[in-house]
Amino acid sequence: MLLIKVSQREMVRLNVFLLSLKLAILAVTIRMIFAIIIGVPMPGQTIFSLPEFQLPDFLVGIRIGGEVTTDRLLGALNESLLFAALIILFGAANSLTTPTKILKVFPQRLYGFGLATAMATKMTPQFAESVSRIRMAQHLRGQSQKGAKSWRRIGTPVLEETLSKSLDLAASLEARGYGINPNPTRYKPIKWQSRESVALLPALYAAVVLPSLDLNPILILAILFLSMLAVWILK
Amino acid sequence: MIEFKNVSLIYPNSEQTIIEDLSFKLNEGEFVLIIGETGIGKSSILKLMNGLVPHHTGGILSGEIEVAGRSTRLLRPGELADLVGVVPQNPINGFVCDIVEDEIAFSLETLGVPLDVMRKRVEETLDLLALAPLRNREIQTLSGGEQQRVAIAAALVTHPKVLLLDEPTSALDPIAAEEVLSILHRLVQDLGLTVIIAEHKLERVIQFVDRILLINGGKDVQLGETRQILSTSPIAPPLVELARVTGFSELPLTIREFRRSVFEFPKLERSSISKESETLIEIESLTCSYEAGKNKYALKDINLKMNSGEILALMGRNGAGKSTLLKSLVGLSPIVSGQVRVLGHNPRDFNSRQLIKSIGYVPQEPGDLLIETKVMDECHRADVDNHANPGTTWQILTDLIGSVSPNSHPRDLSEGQKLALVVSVLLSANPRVLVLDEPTRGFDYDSKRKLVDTLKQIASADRAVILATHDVELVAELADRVVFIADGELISDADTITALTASPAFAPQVAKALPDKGVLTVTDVRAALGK
Repeated sequence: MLLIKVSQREMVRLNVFLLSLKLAILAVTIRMIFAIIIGVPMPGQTIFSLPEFQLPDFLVGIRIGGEVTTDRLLGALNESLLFAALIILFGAANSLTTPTKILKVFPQRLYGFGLATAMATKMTPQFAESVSRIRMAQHLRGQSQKGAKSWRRIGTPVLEETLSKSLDLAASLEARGYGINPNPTRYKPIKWQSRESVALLPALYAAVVLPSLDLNPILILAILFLSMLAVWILK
Repeated sequence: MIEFKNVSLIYPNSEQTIIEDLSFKLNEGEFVLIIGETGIGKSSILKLMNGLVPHHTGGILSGEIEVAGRSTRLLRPGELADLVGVVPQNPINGFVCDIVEDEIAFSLETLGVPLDVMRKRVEETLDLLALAPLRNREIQTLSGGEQQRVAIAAALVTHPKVLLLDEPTSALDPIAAEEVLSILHRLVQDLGLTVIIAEHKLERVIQFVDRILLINGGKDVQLGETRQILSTSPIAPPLVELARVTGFSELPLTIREFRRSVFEFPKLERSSISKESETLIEIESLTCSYEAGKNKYALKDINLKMNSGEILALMGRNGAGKSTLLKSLVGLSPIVSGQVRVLGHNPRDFNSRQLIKSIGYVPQEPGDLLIETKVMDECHRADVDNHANPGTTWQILTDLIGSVSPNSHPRDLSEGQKLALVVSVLLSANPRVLVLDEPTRGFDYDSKRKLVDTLKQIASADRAVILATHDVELVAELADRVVFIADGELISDADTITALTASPAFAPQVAKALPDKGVLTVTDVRAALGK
C-alpha cells in the first residue's frame, strides 16, 4: 500500500497491483474454506462443528467436516497470509518497475533470460488491458460476462493477442541488435531510485531469508512492513 | 544496395509458397514502394531484407539475399542492425523503453556506441524528426503520428543505409500521414538513404517514390518506374484511375501534374433523392468524460440525429473523441450531461438481448468479437445466440463476400474477410444500427470496394450505418454525411460533398484534381462523362 501511495504513476500499472490484491484475497479465502472443510483433527478450542463424512479406511488421518478448532483456523491463516504477501509483493514490484529497467539491469550475456523477464513484465499490464477490451467487445455481442464459460471465451483471444504482441517485441529487439554486442554502453547510467529499493528489498527478504528462519508468518509480515518503512524513511 | 537472387520462401505447414524465384536489385538512395493485395507477402519481403524472415519467424528460404554485400541468410537480424533500420507495422508493440529519448538511444546502447558519440547522435536524430520538444514524454501518451516518428527516429539513429517501413501510415489521420511521408522524402533527398516501404494507401505515397515493386502473388512480380508500373497495375490510386478514365497519355502522379493539362470537364449535377425514413439515433447536448468521475471532457455538447438508410462518417484527428462518441451509442461512455437515444431508448437500459437487436458494434479490433476456432462454428454460435434460423449467419456471410472456407480459423482470414465475418455475426441479430470503428485498417483497394458495397447494401435495408475513419477516399465513396470532431467538439455536420471539399487536407484526390465540378470519386467522374 505504502509503495503504491509513493508512486501513483500510470493507471495500467496500478491495475496490476489491484489485480494482485484481489488474487491474494482470493488465495486466503480459498485456503480458509478448505481449512474449514477438509483437514486433520487438531487440538484447541472448538468453535463450531460440521457434520463429518465417513471416508474409506485407506485415507487415514484425513476427514471432511468435523470439529473446527481455533488452532486449525489460525494455522491455515498463517500459511495463507504468507502466500498472499508474496503475491502482493510480486504485484507491487510489477507495478513499479518497467521492462526497460529490467533489461538494463540484466547482464547482456544473459540475453534469453533478460528477454523472457522483460516480456513477462511488459505483458502483464497489457494483459489486463486486453481482458477489459475483449470483455467489452463480447458484451457488445450479447455474451454474458459471468461464469466459467465467459473465461474460456475471453481467454483464447487474450492469449493469442498477448503472444503476438510478445513476438512483435522480440522481433523489434532482435532487429535492433539486442544481445549481439557483448559490451553494450549506457546512455543514462541507471540511478536506483528509492522506490525501486523499497520494492526490491522486502521482496528479496521474503523470497530468500525469511522462509529459512522458520518464523511465525505474522512476524514475517511485520518485519516486511517495518523494513519497507525503514527503507522509505532512510532514502 | 539490396539484391535478391532467385529467392523462394515457404512457411512450414503451409502448402503455398509465399515467394517463388524472386530476383531484383535495388540501388542506393532509392525510395521504393511495395504494393500488392493483403496477405500476398509484402511484409515477408520486407522482413527478408533484414533477416527477420527466416531467422525470427521460421520458414524455408532458398536463394541468396545480400544487403550492402552482407548475406541475410548467414547473419542474424541483430548483426545487420547497423545497416538496416526497421519500423514495424505496429510500432507501439515494438517499443522497448517508456521515454522517447531512451527509446531512441536504445539501439545505440546495444551496438556499444561510446557515450559521447551516442549523445551527439541522439540530439541530431531528435532534431531531424522534430522530436526535441517531446524528448521526455512517455511514449504511451503520444499520438499515433508522433509514435511513428519516434519509431523512425529509433531506426535512424544508428545511421543505417536502409530503412524499412511496414504500412507506416495505416493508422494515421491524413495530416499526420503527410508529415511522416514528407520526412521520409527529405531523408531520401538529404541523406541518400534507401527507403523501402509497404503501403496500401497509394494516394498518399506515389508522388514520393522512385520505383514500385508490384506483387501479384507467387512468381508474378514486377519492378519498375512508378509510371510504368501504375499504367498497367490492377492496384491504382484514385488519381491514376481518373487519368485512365479521362484518357491521359502521360500518367499524372501528383494533383499538380493532372491540373496542368487543362481540359473541358462537365459539372456533375447531383439529384438529391429524399427517402421515407425514421430517426434511429438522437443525441442531445451530450458531454462525456474519459473516465467516470473525472472532469476532463472527451466530448462537449454534441447534438446529432441519424435516420434510417443513412451512412454517416465520423472524422477527426486521433484522440478527437470519435471512439467515445461511438461507445456512447452502446452506453459505454461515462455521460456527464445530455442524453443518447437509440431507437427511442437509452442504450444503458438495454439488456444484452435488446442491445444486439438494436445495435451492432464492430470494435477497432474486430477479432475481439470472435470466439470459435472455425468460421462455421462461429456462424452456428451466432445463430443460436441471436435466436436466428440455423444457417442465417452463414448465408449473410456468403452474400457479403462470396465463398470462404468454412473450416478455416477466423484469425487466418484476411482483414477484409474477418471484418465481413464479424459484420455477419452482428447482422444475424438484425439490428437497426451498425457501428464501425476504423474498419479499413490494413485493407487494400479491392477489400475496400467490397466493404463499400456491403455497407451500402446494409444501409439500404432501412438501417443506419455510422463509422469512424481516417480514410478520406473511403468516405467519398461511401458516406452520405460527414461529421467532423475536433477536441471533443462537433465542428461540422454536412453532406459528404460539402464536407470533403471544404478543406484540402480532407479532400479526396478526385476532388482536388477536378475542383468545383461536384465530383468526389472516379465513379462520379464516370457518371459526369456519361460512361
